[in-house]
Amino acid sequence: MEHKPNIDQLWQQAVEQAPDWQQFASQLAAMESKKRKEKNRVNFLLGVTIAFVAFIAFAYWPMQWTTLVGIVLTECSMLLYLWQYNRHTKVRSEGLVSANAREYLNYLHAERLKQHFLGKQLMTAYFLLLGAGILLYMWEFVLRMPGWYGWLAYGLAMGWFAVNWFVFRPRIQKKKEAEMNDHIRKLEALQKQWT
Amino acid sequence: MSDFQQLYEAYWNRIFRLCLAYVGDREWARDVCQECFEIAWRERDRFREEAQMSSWIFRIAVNLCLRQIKREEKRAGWEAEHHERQQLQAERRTELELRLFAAIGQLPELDRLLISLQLEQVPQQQIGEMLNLTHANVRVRIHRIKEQLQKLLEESSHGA
Repeated sequence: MEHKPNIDQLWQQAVEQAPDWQQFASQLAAMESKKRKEKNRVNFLLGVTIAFVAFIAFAYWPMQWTTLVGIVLTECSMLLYLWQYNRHTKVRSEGLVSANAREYLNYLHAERLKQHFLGKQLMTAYFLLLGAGILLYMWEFVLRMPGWYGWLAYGLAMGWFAVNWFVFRPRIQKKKEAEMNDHIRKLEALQKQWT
Repeated sequence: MSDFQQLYEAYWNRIFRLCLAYVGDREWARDVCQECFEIAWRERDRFREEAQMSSWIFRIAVNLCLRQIKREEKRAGWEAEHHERQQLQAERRTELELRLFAAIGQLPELDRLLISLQLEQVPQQQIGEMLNLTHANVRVRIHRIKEQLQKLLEESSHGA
């Protein structure tokens, strides 16, 4: 009579030695420290930029209203970015930790909607505020430039905005959405295995 | 020894087996397993509130497995050395053990998770909660999957 393989026993034989705890713990600590430093760096650099721009507005009170509006719009765009950046770094593992498989699918759906909103609405608001802010800010100084230099300055600034708006923004957005849609499709296909 | 270190040492191998049965590749399974513990580490404050440590860590692993779509080429440097050591040990693995994981790999993804959790002796009630199935459904499915696995193993032993 043929001997049947014992599945439970075979399963238990599959042993993989865990990587050394000390190494793993130091890896985790380094990773946390790196993330914290990155967050501090972004907050510091943007904070300094915001303060510097505000300082210019107060120290060299602009002659034209366009400069002042430009400064306010630029400050708003940077504050918007900073608010989103700090908000986004807090909630990444929520669904993975607390949800069952079906709740996780719902969570990913919600994430996709959130990403869509962030990608379309907030990115648009950020670019428009920053673009309009810088272009208005430049106006006072461009008026002082001789002849075609003003056109050149505006041409370069608008060219750079156009590249960001038409090339980088849709590319980033498309990549994020494709990744999320892959996950959702896969999970929806998996859900069908339940029924 | 910290609570988290205890969790790591008690569960690393169990989580690894679950990941291996799901993704079917040791290196990939190690990466998923590592990610699982990284997330658990980040969320360790919640772990202290959880009565069921096993359910908590397995739930993270199950959700992580479910979102595995393609192989991502991400491996920390310190892990490379560990990987080489493991490859030397690979030759010692039994033929049957390899056949078991190959057979599990032929099952649909959710059945792989079900049988892996069962083989890790996670209570069926908890399996149902993790996978959103009733207790009765878990029991019936596991019975069916075990039969299917026996059959697959027998077929592979005849073919060997």
